[in-house]
Amino acid sequence: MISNLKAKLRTISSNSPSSSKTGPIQGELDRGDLGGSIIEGASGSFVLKTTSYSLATSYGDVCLDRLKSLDLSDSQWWTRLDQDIDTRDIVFLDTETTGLAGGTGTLAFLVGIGYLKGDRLVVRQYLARDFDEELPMLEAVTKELSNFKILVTFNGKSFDWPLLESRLVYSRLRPIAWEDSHLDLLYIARRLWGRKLKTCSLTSLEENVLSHYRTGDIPGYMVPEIYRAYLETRRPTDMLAVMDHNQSDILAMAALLIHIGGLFKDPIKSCDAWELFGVARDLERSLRLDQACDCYKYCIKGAKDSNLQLQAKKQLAYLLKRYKGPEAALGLWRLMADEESGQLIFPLIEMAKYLEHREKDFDTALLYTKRALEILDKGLAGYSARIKDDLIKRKNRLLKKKKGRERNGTYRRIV
Amino acid sequence: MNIDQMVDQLKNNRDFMANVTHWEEIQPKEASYGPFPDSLSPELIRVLADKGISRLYSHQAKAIELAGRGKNLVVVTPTASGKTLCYNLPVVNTILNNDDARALYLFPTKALSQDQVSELHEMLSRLDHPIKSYTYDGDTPVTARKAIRQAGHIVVTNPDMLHSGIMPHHTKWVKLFENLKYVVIDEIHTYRGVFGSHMANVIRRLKRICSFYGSNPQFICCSATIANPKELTERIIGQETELVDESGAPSGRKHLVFYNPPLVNRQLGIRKSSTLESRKLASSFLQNGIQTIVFARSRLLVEVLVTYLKQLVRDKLGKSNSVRGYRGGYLPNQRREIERGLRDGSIMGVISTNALELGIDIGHLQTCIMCGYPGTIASSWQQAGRAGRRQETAIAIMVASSNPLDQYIIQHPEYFLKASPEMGLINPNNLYILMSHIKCAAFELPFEDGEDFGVDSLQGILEYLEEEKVLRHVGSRWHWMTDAFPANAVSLRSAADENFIIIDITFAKHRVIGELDRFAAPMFLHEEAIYIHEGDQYQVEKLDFEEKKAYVRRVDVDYYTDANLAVNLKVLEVFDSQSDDRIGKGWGEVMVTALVTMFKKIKFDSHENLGWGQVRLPELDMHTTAYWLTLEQERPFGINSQDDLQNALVGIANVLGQIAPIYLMCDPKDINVIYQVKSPFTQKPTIFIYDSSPGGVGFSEKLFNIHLDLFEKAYEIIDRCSCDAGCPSCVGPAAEVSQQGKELALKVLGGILNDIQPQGQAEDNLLKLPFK
Repeated sequence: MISNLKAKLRTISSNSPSSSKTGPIQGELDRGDLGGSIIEGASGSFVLKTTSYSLATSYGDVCLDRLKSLDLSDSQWWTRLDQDIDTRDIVFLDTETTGLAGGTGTLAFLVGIGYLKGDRLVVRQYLARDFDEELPMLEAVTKELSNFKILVTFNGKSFDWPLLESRLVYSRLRPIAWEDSHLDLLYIARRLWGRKLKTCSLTSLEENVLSHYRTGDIPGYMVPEIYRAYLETRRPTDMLAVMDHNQSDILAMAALLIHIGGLFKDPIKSCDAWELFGVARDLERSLRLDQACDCYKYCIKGAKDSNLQLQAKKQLAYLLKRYKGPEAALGLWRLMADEESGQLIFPLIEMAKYLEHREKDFDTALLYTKRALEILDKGLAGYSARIKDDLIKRKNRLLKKKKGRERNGTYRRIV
Repeated sequence: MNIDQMVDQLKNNRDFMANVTHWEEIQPKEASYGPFPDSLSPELIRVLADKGISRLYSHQAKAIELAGRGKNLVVVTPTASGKTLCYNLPVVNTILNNDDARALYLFPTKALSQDQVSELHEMLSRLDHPIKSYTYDGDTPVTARKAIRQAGHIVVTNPDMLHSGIMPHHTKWVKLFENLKYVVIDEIHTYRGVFGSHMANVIRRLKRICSFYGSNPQFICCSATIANPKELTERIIGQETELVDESGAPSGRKHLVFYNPPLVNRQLGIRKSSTLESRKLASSFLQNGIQTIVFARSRLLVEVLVTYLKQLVRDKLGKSNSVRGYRGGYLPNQRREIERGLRDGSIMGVISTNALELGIDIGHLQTCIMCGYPGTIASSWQQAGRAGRRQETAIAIMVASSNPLDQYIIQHPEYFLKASPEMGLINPNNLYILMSHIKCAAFELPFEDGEDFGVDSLQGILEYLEEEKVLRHVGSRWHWMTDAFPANAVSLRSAADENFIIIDITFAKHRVIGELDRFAAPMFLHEEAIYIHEGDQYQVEKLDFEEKKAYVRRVDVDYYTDANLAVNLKVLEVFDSQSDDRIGKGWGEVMVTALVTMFKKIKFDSHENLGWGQVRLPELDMHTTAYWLTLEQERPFGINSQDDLQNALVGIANVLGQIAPIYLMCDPKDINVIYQVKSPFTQKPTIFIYDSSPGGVGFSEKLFNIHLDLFEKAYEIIDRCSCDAGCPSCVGPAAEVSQQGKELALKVLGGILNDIQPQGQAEDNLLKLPFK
């Protein structure tokens, strides 16, 4: 009866039957092929592999010994955490999972964590060699994680941690509520390098920022497939590569944090123009305005990319206008209006606003307004219809004001 | 004229009455009340009093009392009889007593859930205790979702969202699942056929998750009138259910009129258009300022009628906004506005598809006109129920079209009035559907050895999925092991994603003009086919079979195309069969293959063949279930030639295809009829009726049980049809079935029915409840 059912299932199955029909191979669980030791807990066993790195180790351009001396006091303005960081309180975390789609049915079979211990960076990898090892593994991981105050991940806020959280809830274990003590380096990386690099993946950052080039690394998307193959064949080769990959990710996070910490500590000295722009935005956001102005200025000075330079000018001008008054921004607006002539509308609008409302110089304001309209009429893309409407309104208002003044005979010229 | 005068005037109008086949007057009914149950909190009683409710209708009191005793229940009472209080009161009362308690409301559509939420909010806002209810569906902003998961006492959603957006992420909904006290399923009668079979599995998954979190919710369901609300509910929720079906709500006098448009050509069986007749009737009501709803069977018809009636109303009232259309495809805001307008009376007339048949609150109208028989007895009553106020007279007029089903109903009003409405049939154990949901369930929580999921075959399916490397059996559990997110691959609404879309490329701006199901596509959308849509001709330029897209261009030609479809049906397994020396019947599993090989170009009017072309499309096959009837005799019922037999079978198949849906409460597209003059399986002339959805959803078994009823009705329809030799209202046009078609069909049907009494009691074993 059951074989009849299976035959039926096979015929109605829309996808072609999988190549092997032999059923699952229950390979023997290896004892030691993966390195590490087998931990026997109350609810089962799992593998724990501990690797410790001397702080003299370098990862690309970054030497890990800087982790110890890394000063992350006064860092909340860019970490956006609820506390300053002592590097001894940090735990780095990276998981390898059975799928990338998320949802309750995806689990992390490997959880790697890293932390500073004395003069070493310790990486501990918790591995479930099969689905029934997940629970004891998770119990041990949560226990160890509870020793730390700060969680550092790369893309962990939207991927690793929610996934673990979900599996912890499923296993009836209490997840740690990291909330504002979870530092996701991806977000910071995007602020610093999102404009410059095509992607902000960890590998891309390693190569472009840390000058580290992995060799023999397996691509992340292959991990679920490798685990499935391992479950069937129990051959350790590819799984060892996954574990190495996971270790590299943790080292990379440590190196990246060191590097980022340095950039924010002394931006003018350590940052390139791209990075300066990102740092300046964070400074501005936390109202460290003088420092922000400095960073924008250095960015403008050092930028080779004209668009970046323009963005920095624009950002700086708005900052000045907002916090120091319109006069402070005037120079920059005028510079942009003239220098980038025929291209930009916003400096013209800003100039017109200033001249109309502050200086009451309707003629010149009208000139700028008309020029902005001319540019728009050339059909430059990217401007909304509202901008044009506003400009026309401004033009009409200016004409009216001008006429009113001529009639009243109070015409006077400033500038 | 007011409504009573209008009714009198119609009654005295001889021209109108000549076409009325029946006029049913339903007497007004007094309200019957029941006491507030003791368990009801004083706060809630105060809120009800604020709303002007000082006592409950008897059905409400009974529902609340049953809910209080922990029973699952299904409430079946007419439209607008205060059904929502039957679940809102127990739910809110429970939350008032226990702030941790949670409830889940399921509505079949987003529009309905929004409607219900606004009503619920109104009630909650009068309470002293803050009870929060939220809609959680595809439109819910991401930023609001977290709060809803944590803090929503009542989460309102639809089965699709529950299936793919909530259950696969159940760990984010711990609060809800740990404390779930009530699951409310409104409009449960909509969950029949494929949709219902999916729904039953969604509920199986929901109950699994609840039991994981230690909750065991009660179900409160509401249904429109169908024959088997209790059984349908029990099959969907998999638990025993109490039925509350005696309405205590009052109703006014109601007239139900059956109107058959006059014949304009008797020989060809052509009648006046039901659309134009409906328009005429609707406009006379509208011009007298009587609020009227017109139900049309397609979106296109809705638009046609709206255009007509707006014109009329504009002339008389000087504005046209008092007549509106309402159908799927309108924006939510627009629909809300129309619903409001109907409630406050600023909109006088609305023309709707069956979208307004469901419980959307539009108040009570005075007149309902059904343009065409709505397809089932149950929806007819629901649509007619849109007209009816407590004190005033209401009238519902059904205007028949010329298709056989309409003609049967309009000529047999006694059948309509006496027959119990259709049954809601589902088959939760349809292998396709079951397997999809077992995958989803395994993703949500690993299966434990010995779990049953309500089916015997679970173990076998799990083993199969392990062989396919979808699951992994370790220890005593079956774990999900692939990279996929299974809920995304399963659509609850039958095989909608399998449809071909039809794209008009005549103008630079391409537009989608329609869709066609997978099995019809090769017939009508092969390259070079002339596809007729809304009366316009299009030629198919390209059929992208992989992408399921047909590109068509407007043409104006004097021919149409007719594709030659070879449908083959192979019986794979017989579940049951019976026969005597005259006829036999059976049902079982079949494989249907359809192949289009060529098409003919046929000139309009003259029907001369202008040429032909080849079609190169893959053969489609489908596993499903079928019912069949065989003619056991060598020369059945005195029919001597193969041609005659064939013509008889064509005609019978035409009628059966049209009327079988009446017994199955399904869309005519849900089943197909084919005949074989000599079936390779039975070796005899055989008529097969098979499910259009893979795996079948139970129609075949039902047909096997009702068996000859169907043929009796077919006989009656053909016999009583006034045409000479076949028309669209019976066997089909004579051109198709020959001049003797009608006579031959009757001969065969007469033979089938001879001496054999219809079997009634077989229905008893039709619904086997899953928990017994």
